[in-house]
Amino acid sequence: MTRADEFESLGHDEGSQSGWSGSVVGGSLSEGLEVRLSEDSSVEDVKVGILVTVQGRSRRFFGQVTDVNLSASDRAVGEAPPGPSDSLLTSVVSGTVAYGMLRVEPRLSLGTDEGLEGPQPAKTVPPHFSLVAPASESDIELIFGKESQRRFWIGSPLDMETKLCLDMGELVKRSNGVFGKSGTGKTFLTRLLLAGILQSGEATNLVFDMQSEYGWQGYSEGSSGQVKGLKQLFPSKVAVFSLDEDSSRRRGLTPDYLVRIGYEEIEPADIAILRGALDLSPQGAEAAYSLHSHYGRKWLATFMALSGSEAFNELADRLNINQGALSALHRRLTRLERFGFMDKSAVHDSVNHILSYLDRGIHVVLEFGRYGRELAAYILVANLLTRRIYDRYAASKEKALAGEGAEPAPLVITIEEAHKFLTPGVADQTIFGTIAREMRKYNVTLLVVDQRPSGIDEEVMSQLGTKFACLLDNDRDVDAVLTGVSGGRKLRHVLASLDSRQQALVFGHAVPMPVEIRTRDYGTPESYKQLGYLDEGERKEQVERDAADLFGGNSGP
Amino acid sequence: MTTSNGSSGVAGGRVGEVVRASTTEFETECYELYQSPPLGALVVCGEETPIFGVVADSLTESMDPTRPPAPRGAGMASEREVYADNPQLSRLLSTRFTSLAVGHMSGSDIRWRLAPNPARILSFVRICDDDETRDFSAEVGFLPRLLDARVGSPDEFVAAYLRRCAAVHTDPESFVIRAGKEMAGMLPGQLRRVTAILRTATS
Repeated sequence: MTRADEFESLGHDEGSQSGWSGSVVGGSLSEGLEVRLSEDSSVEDVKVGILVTVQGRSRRFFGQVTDVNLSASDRAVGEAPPGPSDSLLTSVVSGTVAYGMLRVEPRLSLGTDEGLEGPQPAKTVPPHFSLVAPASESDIELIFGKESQRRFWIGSPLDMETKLCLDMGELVKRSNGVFGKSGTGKTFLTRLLLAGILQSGEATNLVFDMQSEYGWQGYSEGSSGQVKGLKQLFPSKVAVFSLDEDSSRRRGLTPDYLVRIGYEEIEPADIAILRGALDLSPQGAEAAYSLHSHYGRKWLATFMALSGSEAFNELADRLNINQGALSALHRRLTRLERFGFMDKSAVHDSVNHILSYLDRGIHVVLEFGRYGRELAAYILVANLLTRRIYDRYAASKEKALAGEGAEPAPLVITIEEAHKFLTPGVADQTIFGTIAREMRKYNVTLLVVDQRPSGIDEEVMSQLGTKFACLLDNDRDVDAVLTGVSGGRKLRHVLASLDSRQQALVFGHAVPMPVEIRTRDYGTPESYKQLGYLDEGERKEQVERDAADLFGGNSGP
Repeated sequence: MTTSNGSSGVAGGRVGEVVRASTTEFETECYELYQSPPLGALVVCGEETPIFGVVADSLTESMDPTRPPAPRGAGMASEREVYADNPQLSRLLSTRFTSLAVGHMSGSDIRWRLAPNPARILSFVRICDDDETRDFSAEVGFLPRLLDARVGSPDEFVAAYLRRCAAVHTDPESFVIRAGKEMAGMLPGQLRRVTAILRTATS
């Protein structure tokens, strides 16, 4: 069989023959396959993370290159290597005595009897000398599916132009995470995921937009400087709520709703989660519960109105709390008074407003404006709103289970800087920890965006269904991301080899096998069009067309 | 491919006739004293089933083992003068060379493997011309077998063969690389030896 025939047998077209090939020479299911590169293949053409096809005798395997190394069958290669100018000897030795070896992790296999069901997890390995080659476009489609309403094009596999699609229905069934150090494209990837969820209609989004990157417009390090947010791309499907009206207006946005938080809406649990951000002692956090029992709903306003050491002493005595802890709590909580969105006097019903949008299938982005720089503000608002929304969802779901109404539509809540409030010891106290653990029991899941996954509670990390890992260079962060992942040790090499921009390793529930992707472009006019964006003229034409369809056009009697 | 008459040799490009033959090698006695082909040359013998061989060793000695040559040049100015003064030497001495069989013709096709039968005694032997050498050296898979031979100095005659073949190829370096890869692949753990052969072949 010629090499062309071999490639053809693996579904490659003629143009793919410029790639590389190899053959299986050893390995195991647990440790991966050892593949020797063919003599005419260059080790430089093979990158860790790329997807490969292995043609066994009766099964076809799909795997991922997890390591590349140089081997030699003769010690002389190391002891007396050809000199740099000895091109003849270098050519002779290359590919024969000195050759490239790959470690390939077999992930899926396709037997002749499973053609209709698609690839299944690999439970055996291909025999010796099976041909190994890069996966073809048709392989990618076979594994990840074709672009459709439900399958969103998220990017391309490494070194390929093929569209790699994510099953958004599967994605939103569980909580997910986007991780990567600063500047690696987390926000762009998240924006794409949010757009994908929106376009697929599989769930509605509630985004706690710390840096105001997702709603109206975001920032790019590229030449353009700015990129469109979800509201600009999908104006009728996205509402932007704001905590900071001035900031929104400065950026040319009139928010759909200004979120205000009344003091009465704050519960002791909301203070407990701020322990780290406000530098509260455990006693201080506990004191909030005592105050709540003592004063009732108006506990915060009443407590903040206290002044003078006598008043604190008296209250401390009455509640049997350390006076120092009480004073410290008071001092720390004065920070909340500086937040412009806090309202001492009135009760606002931001939760209902948000829910009214979500119920109509409108995706909500809550911009924090200048308060995005205040971690305490972010944690307070995100936790407070989420807890109440979650309660409402739980109630709706339980009613639905009892046959008293429809199930609430799945909701994906996006949070950033999660390591600040999903830390071990705190995660189990927050609503986010609950949501992450309970998965979609109540149709609410999380999309966690973070740069320090090692700071997130291990249990929460292990419950994330699908992880999108951009470049991470801290070993602890890498370990955290790979916690609970089958074959995680081998994915370390893949993760470490990611480019610092626009690349991510995707693995978990929503993908049949781990895959390294170059994320789809976002920020160019072409990319907006591909996402369905219509400029003003196009939108007008669309409206006219729709009107003509609806009312029969201009054809009069 | 068809064999053709070579240009060197005494009669019709021939250099001698086979005087001893086995499946793996054949020995040729030259028509002319000292007219053995060079080490590593590709030769062919026989008419019905021409057999190709690579010259691996060459020997000149007395035809009568009981009468070994004795020095005759004392007092003479040059070696040429010795032979001119002793014309009987060309009748008393003979030059023979050993070729390792490397392939044969089957119809008009080259087969790079041993012939089914040894060369016939007194088969005519001639040196292959450039075209034949180029065609035959398209395949180099037999080189590791030559290196295992117990005749002469295998590394030297293989290097000489490579050098001669490379000279008739349009891209000599590609040919040497191809041959080198074949040897390196077939001789595990002998990279230093292969390196030395290639250096000799290209020096």
